[in-house]
Formats: sequence, C-alpha cells, structure tokens
Amino acid sequence: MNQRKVARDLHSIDEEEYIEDLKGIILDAAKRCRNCNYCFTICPLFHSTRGFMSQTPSGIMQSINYALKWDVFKGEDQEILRDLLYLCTTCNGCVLRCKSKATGLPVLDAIEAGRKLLREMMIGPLPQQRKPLKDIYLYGNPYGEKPERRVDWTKGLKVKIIPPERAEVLFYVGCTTAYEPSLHLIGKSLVRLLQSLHVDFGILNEEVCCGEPARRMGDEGLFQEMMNRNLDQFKSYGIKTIVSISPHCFNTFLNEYPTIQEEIKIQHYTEFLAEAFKGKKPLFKKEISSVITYHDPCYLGKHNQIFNAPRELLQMIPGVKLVEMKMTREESLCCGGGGGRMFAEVEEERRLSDMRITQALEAGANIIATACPWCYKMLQNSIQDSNLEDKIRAKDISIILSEALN
Amino acid sequence: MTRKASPEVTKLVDELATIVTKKYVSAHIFERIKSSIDTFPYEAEKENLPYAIVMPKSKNEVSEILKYANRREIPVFIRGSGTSFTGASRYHIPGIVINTHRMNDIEVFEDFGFFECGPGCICESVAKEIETRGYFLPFAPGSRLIASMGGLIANNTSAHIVDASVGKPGDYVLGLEVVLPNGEIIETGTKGLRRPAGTDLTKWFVGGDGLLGVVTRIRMRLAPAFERAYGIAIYQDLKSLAKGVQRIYRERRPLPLFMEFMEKETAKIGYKIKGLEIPKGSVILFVSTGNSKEEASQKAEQILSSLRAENPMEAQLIKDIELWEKLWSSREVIGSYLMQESGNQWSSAEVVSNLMELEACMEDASHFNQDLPVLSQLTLYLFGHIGGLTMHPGVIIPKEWDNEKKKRAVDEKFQREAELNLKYHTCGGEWGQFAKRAPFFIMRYGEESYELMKKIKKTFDPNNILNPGVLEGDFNNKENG
Repeated sequence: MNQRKVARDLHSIDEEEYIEDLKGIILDAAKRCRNCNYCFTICPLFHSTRGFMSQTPSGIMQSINYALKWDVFKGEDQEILRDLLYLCTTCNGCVLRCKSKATGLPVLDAIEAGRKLLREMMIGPLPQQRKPLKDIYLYGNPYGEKPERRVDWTKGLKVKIIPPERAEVLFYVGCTTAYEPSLHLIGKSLVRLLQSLHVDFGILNEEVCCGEPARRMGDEGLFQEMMNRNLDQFKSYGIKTIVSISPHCFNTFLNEYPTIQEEIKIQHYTEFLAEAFKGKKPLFKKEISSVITYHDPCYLGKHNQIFNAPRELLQMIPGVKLVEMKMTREESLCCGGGGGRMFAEVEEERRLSDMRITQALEAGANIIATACPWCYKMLQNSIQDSNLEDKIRAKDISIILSEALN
Repeated sequence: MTRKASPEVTKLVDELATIVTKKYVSAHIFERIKSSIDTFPYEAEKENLPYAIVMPKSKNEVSEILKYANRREIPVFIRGSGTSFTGASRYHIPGIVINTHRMNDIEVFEDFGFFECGPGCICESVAKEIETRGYFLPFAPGSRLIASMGGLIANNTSAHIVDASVGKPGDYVLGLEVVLPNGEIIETGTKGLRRPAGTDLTKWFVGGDGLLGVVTRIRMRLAPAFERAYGIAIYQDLKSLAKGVQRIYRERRPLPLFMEFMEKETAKIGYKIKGLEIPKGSVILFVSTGNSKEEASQKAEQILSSLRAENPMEAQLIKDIELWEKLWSSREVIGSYLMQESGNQWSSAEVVSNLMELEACMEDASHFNQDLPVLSQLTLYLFGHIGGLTMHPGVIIPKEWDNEKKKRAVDEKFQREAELNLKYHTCGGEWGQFAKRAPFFIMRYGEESYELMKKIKKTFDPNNILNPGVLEGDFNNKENG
C-alpha cells in the first residue's frame, strides 16, 4: 500500500487552510532535505534535460521551498518556477531512492503540493494543460470527446454495459483506451482474455475520468469532483472488484480514493490475469518467437511495486525470450508521459522514450512490451519517429497475450 | 579576493552564451539557489548566490570561460554534484558556477589498460562500465550514486577503502587534461601504464582541492577485480577492538580492502533494521581480497588470528553471502535510518587516529560532543572505517533549530574534529583539506605551510579566480581572504 498523503476533502476546509496545508508539506520536506542529491541519478529529468541542478527532484523541491521563503512568485520567476514544477514525470523514483539511501522524504508530495499551490495562485498549470482540465470538467475525459461515444469501441463485442446490466467485475477502461482508435485493440484484447477465462465482467456506460490527470496537474478541486462521481457510480452499481487497464487509474483508485480499498478489490489487469492464468498455461497455444523486453510503467512498478505479474504473463507464452533493459524494475526509466506531461510539451534535451527504445535495442529485444496506454503511445511514437519499425515494435502485454491465445 | 561590485547579469549571461550558447547558461534564482547549497543543514544566503551557472561541454569552452572570468575578475566555482562535506561547495562570494554535468563521457580502452572520463561522470556510471568488464573500482564513496569523478579526483578520496591496502585514486591516475585558471590547457602524465618518475604535474591537481586548475579529462589505470572473503569480529569494548586493529598492522597481516566498525549502541540500530540478532558488543566487518577465493579466505583468516588475540566475543569468516549483505548494509543504513526515524539531518565529523594511539583516539571519539555548548545537547553515534583508522562520530541535527544554531553546530563539529586530529597528528583522509578545515590546516601545518599554499595558489591563479573561499575558509569573516 502506497503511503502517500491524501489531501483532505476540500469541502471540509476553507481555502486558507488548504493553502497552509500545502505550504506545510513543502516546507517540512525541504527543511529535512540534506541536499545529498542521491535522487538525481534515478530521476528521468537528470537524463533528459540539460541537467541543471534545479531540474532534479531535490532541485524542484528546493525551488518551491525558497519561492515560499523568499516570496519569489513574480514576473519571469513565476513562469520559471511553474516550468520546473511541471517538468516532473511523478515517476516516484526519487521517493524510492530517498527512502533507501537518505532521509526518506515525501519528495513527490512536496512537488505536487507546489503544483496545487501554483494552481491556487493562478500560475499553474502549463498553458497547454488548461484545455484537458477543462475537458475533464465538461466531458469527463481530457480529450474533449463526447461522453456518449465512450463505449463505441465495444461495438460487435459481447460486453456487458453497466447499467442496465450488472457484473461481478468492473472492467475500468480509462479515457485513453476508450477514445484513442490506435489503442482500441488493447481494450478488445482484454475483452478476449477475460472471456477466455469466463470472467463475469462489464464496463460502465457512463464511465468518467478517474481524475488522475487533474491531480497531477494540480487541480485538486477537479480531482475530488471526479472522485466523487466515480465513487457514486461504484456504490450505485454495487461494484466489488475493479480491473483497470491503465496503471494511472489503478493507482488512483487504490491509493488516492480514500476508504474505497476496504470495500472494493482493485487490481491492475496484469495482476488479475497473472492470478487467473496461473496453472492455465496451455491456454496460450500459439508460439510467439520474439525477444521481448518489458518496460515497467511507473505507476505499476515504482508506485505499487508490481514488477513480477507482467513478467510472469509474458513468460507463460511459448517461444518468448524475456530480456531486461539496463534500467529496470525500481530503476526503470520513465517513458516521459506521466505527471501531466501527456498534455504538454516540456524541455527534453533527449527524449525519454527514445532513450528507452535505445535501451530495448541494446538488450537485444524486437518487442518492447508494456502495460500502460500512455507508455505504449510514447514508445510507439518514438519507434515511428526514429524509423525503427523494422527493428522493434511496441506492444501492450494484453495484445501479445491475446495473440498467443490462438 | 574581495567582494566587488556585481557585474550586469544580463550582459554576463549574453557573454557566457557566446561561449556555450544561450541554452547552457542559467541565471534564474532557483538554479542559483540549488547551485550554491550543500549538505550543511543551514539555508542559502541571498548575498552569496552565484550570478549565473554555465554548462560547458569541452575543455575549450572551460578555457574560454576562465579567460573571460579573468578579464572581468569574476570568481568561478566548479561544481560536480555539490556533495562536499567540508563546505567546499558552499560559496562565500557570488561568481560564475561551472557545472560539469555535460562533461560526462567515459571510454574504456582495454587494449591500453586504462579508461578515460570527464569530470562530470558519476562514480556509479564508472563502476558500471568497469566492474562489468572485470575491473576493480579503486574508490568507494558512500555517495557513489551521485559523486562526480571531478570532485573525487580533486579530493583524491578512496573513501571507505582502507588506503594502506590498495592506495588512493591518485595511485591509479595516469594523467589528466587540465584547464589552468588563466585558461591555458595542459596535459599531464602518460598513456603508458608506468607513471612518470620525478616531476609529474598530475600531482598538483589530484587532491588539489580544486584550487589550481579545472580537470576536464581523467585517465585511470584499469586494475583487475579481486576475489573477496568476508569476516566479522565483535568486541565487548572499544579498547579491545582498537587493540585488535593495531595488531593487524603490527603483525604485518595482509590488509583488508574494507574494514568498518560500529560502536555497540550504534550497531544495535543497524542490526535491528536489518532484522539481525542484536550484537552484544562493538562490531568490526571486513573484506579481504585475493586472486582466488582461497587466497582471499586465507588472508581473512590471518586478519582474524590478530583480531582473536584481543578476546573478541566472536570472530569468524562469513561465508553466507546473504548474511554478509545484511551485515554490511546494517552499517550503511544507520545514517539514513536515523534521519528517517527522527525526521532530521545527519551530520558527522572525520576523526583520524595514528596507529599507536588508536585506543585513546577511539575513546575521545566516543565522547566527541562532550562539553560543546550546542552539540552536547544531542545523542552521539559512532562508526567508521576503522581499517583506515577513521571514525565518524555523528549527531542528528533537529530541523526545528534555527539557522544560527545549526551553523554553530557545524562550526563546533569542525572545531572538535580539528582538536582531535591535531592531538593525534593526523588529518582528514576523506573529505578535503580546506573550506571549513582551513583553520585546522594552519594549526596543523603552521602559518609557513599556509603561506606556501597561498603562494602556490597565486602562481597558478594570480587573480584568485578559481574556487575562491576554499583556501581561505570562512571568507566573509576575513578582511581580505
């Protein structure tokens, strides 16, 4: 269980109290920071930006800390501060490193408190992030897509729609898979896999964003609005188990929705399938003769320590040779899509997803597998932009498993 | 160098941008803050923030920056990862910071028997490159995950390694590329595996505390990795432990690569975290090396025979690697555990003994904070690299203390460290000789030696452009450093 602080219900406190809470999180963490800088080398920014000292976890944390202490929120400085805070991919590497080697600080809580503070001060988020936030508010998804088109991808599939139907397992699709045509195959593959296991599952007719992008971008009010809408639905339909495609939605339900964990079992699809397929290896009959490397999505691995289930699934497929990249598991390099960065261009001297593809090629892989729609998109874009389609392909694990079902 | 009128920062940035392009110059307040704080528990000082930070990629760019700084008489500070424990990366006057991060390439020339790297290369990256090829890393800083090679060479620190066993990094440095403070570029040393006899300019810069030049390329000999054997000894008291260590040297035992110790109460903390049975005394952990497992074990047995002569409660080889890793990490986690448990910051000193008086020095170190107005308010913890006769008495500085009290705590630490290293006629072997330790240098080696150092510095750096404040110590307290 992730120990991150969950913000108090905004309805229960006034604005002043909320801002004092945020300042407290920042000042306390920064005061304890020893500036040992052990967090630098685990941070994707250290590898992808120009490498200035403020472009690091402790650098970002000290920036917001001194902004508060010295009141540096004016003119050009406020934009620089905003850009630094929103650089972070929120991968959680710094938190793990600080815990294992240094002071054990809630670095990410401090950075996110900084974003929330900037949002309150109308300095954040990044300009390009305003539209997706507005779209979440208006349409329930960050892409401005019509809510009624959300389940279109299921046409022709025998999938229960809740309501009017009911099911034991809620298959939470998530906005990206639901609306992005190139990702529909992930949803379809999972439907096939769940059906092969005879799971009684369904999807919400009025599924809305889990709120994760809003919280990552500092809009706590919008996050809590989406949380309440989701909780109402889960309660109304008596949901007992949620299986999520995206590690981001999974982490949000598991660690950021208060109390839900006591009533609902929340699993990422890789965990659910690894448990369900255990002992059923013969189900995967088709041999896939590929060298596969697995890219750990941050919100599955570094945030929730789910490293084995995805690998176990890949190893169930006959013919697959699994290899590891040089940065893997707890030290895995972020693809660059987390922390609201899917919705904005930020400084990248070297693109993280390009570095990841290079690492996959160095490991000898011809498939880079992942288990996150955003990671998949980032990696796929890098392969296309670098004209490497003849050497390596990105695939979500669900698609590989579905292909192996024969 | 005295504090001068500030240059016009916009102009400064533009001029630096002509050398490294605009992209690699930063003058915003947040970069200036982060590039001027270090591991000391007190805050940045507005009046001492650097004017700008610049990230050169090559020796030529470094050279141009230094020539420019000399023309304008602006101080230049060299920054790797900013993790100095002596205040060498906390500036007492504004200037230009050269961040070495972009000079971070590493090349391994196995056919020549050496590797070369830039000063911004992180120790851990070097380790990954050379250890995976079967070579030995001749340094082991606790900050290996972030320490830069430039900083490591400027301090010539083998860190946790027992110096008398395999030497210091400088013993592996074959040559350097250096930009002098006036911007001239020189090459030192050799591409052969035999280091120069007689004059070798390399020596001015390895362990030169960053005073005399900017190292832009480092060439180090590749040494083959060893096989290792592991041992432990537990003593009722520190006296017997000290005598055991003295015996190893006096009985001419093959020295271990590592030999760490934890005082009984401190050891309890580490053992508890790692789920080990609580030790009944103070603990020694050591690593012996050899060309084969057998040879390493034989050497470890020889060490144990000396340690056993002082009646330890336990002294044996550790053959279970999993157990060894737990034991070894029990020593490594103490500082971070104490910080996490208390929510405060660790701060320790470096007390070094001579061999003869190790018992007395350990006794002194175990009362390190006694009678000090601020530090005596805190619990003392004691561990260190006892094979190198080094102790790290440390305290946890409460975050609630105000800035001034934290500063006094740091000053008291260096004051007591100086007293003890003077008493035992030693000096720090891990963290560099100047900055907060400048007063110690004068007390230890005399005004004449210090004046000589100043003259040497002036010869290399007539305008005192490079890292001013390091040689002078606490710069602001003096009329003219």
